[in-house]
Amino acid sequence: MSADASATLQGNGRGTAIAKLTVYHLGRLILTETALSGADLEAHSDTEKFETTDRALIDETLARIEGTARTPTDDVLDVRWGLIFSDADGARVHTFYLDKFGTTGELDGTLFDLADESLVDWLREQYGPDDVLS
Amino acid sequence: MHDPQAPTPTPSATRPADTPPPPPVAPQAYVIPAPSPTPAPPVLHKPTTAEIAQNKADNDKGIVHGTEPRAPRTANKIEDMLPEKPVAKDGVVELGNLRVQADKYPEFREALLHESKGPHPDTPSIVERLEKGPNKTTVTMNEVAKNQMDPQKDGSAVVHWDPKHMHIASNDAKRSPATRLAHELDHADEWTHDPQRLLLNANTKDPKFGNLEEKRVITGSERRNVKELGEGQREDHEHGKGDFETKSVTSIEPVLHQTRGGVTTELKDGYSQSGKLSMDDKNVYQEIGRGEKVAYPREEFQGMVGGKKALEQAVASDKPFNVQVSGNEFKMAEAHTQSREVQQNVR
Repeated sequence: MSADASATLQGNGRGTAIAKLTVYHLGRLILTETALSGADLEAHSDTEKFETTDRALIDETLARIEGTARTPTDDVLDVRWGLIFSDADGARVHTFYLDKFGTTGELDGTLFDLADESLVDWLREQYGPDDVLS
Repeated sequence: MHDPQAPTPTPSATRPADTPPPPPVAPQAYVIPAPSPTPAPPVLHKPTTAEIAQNKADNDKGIVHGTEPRAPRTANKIEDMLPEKPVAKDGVVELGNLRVQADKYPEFREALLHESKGPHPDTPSIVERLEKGPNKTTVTMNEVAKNQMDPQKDGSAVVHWDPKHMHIASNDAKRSPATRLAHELDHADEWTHDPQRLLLNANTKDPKFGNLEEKRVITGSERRNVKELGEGQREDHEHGKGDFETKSVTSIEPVLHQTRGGVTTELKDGYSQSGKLSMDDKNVYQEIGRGEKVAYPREEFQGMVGGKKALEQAVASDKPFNVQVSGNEFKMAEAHTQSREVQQNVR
C-alpha cells in the first residue's frame, strides 16, 4: 500500500477505527431492469451478506482497494458488490461499491474506474459466490 | 437442367411452375402445450476473452447482437396464449413452460395484452416461445420495484415483476409496469433460446447500459414497445428519477402519496415532471403524454411565491411547466426557464 493511499483510506486514525467489514454481494448474472445503487444493493432481498471483524482481512481488503489505480468516470455503475467499513459503534468509516466486472466503483461517494479486475477476482475467491458461468 | 443431386420432390410438393402458390394457411387454433417434465440444462461455455473483445468491438461499431426480433414471428393471438380464466394449481398458473403466480395472473395478462398492441409486436412471439420453450420460466410478483430476471443453472428462469410501479428514467422517459414486464420476459426468452449469447452479452461491459444484454433489450424490443405504446424511450440503464407507484399496469402516470388537506400525495425527492397545466377546484393537473395527467393538490400551489396569480398565469399559458421536488422544496417553473421559478416548502 502506498503512503498516499494510506492517507486516503486510513489517515486520521480511520484505519484503526475500523472494527468491522460487511460485504454485500448480488449474483453476477441477475439482470435488473435498472442499475442498482449501493443503497439498492444493501436493501435487495437477494443480496448475500458477510460480516467479519478479522483485523488481517480488513487490513488486506483496505490495502487491495488502495492498491488498485482509480480514475474518475461518468460510466453507469450497476452495483453488485458492497464493502462497508464501520467502527465499533457501527458508524460507517468507508463505503466502497463495485460493479460485477470489477472495473467501475464508488468510494465514499466518488465514482471511478479501476485499472484492472484483480479486486473483484479476489473478492470472489474470498466470498465464493456460485455464479452461473461467470 | 436436371440436377441429379437434387432431392426428388414428393407428390404433394409438386406443382406446375405456372400455377400461383397456394394462399397462406390460416393458423390453427392455438394449443397451450403441456409443461415439460424435466429441465434441459443448456450446454454452455464461459465466454472467452477473445469473444468478449469481439462483441465489444461490434458494439463500438454500433452492432449489438440480438436486438432484432427473433424469427419467426408468431401469427397466433396473445389472447389464445393467455386465457382469461386459466386453471391454477398450488397457486401457479401453468401455460406450458411459462408459470405465473396465480393471484396476480390478471395483472400479468392485462400487461401482456397491452404490450401486444401494434402491427408487429414482439410480445406474442416471446410469450409463445416461453410457453413452448425447453425450460420453465416462472414469474413472481412483488410490490417493492423488484424487476429482474434470474437465470438458473438448470436452464430455467425466474422473473420478478412489480405490477405497481412505473419508472421515470434519467431523461424523464416514463415506462409502465407492463413495459417493465416485457423487458424481463425478453431476457427470459434469451436465456431459454440463446443462453450462450446471453452469457456473452451479459459479460460484455457497456458504459451507458452496464452490459450488452441490457442494451440488447432496451434498444431492441423495449424501444419498439414504447414507440408503439406512446411511452418514453430511455437512453441508459440508470435508476434515473426512480420508481413511482402508478394506478394500473398499463399506466405511465405516477401516483404521488401524501395526505395534506384531505388530498393524498407524496412528492418524492427527485420527482420531476413537465407538461401543460390545468385545474379544477381541488387539483392542478399536468399533462404527461398519452392523454394521462398527474394531479397535485391545488393548495400546494396557492402558497407559492407569486401565489394564486402565478398559478392562474401558468394554467392559462400554452407552455409546459415543470413541477419538481428537490430536498424539502416543491418547485414549479416554466419548462426550461429558471427566471420564473416559484417555490414553497412542503415538509
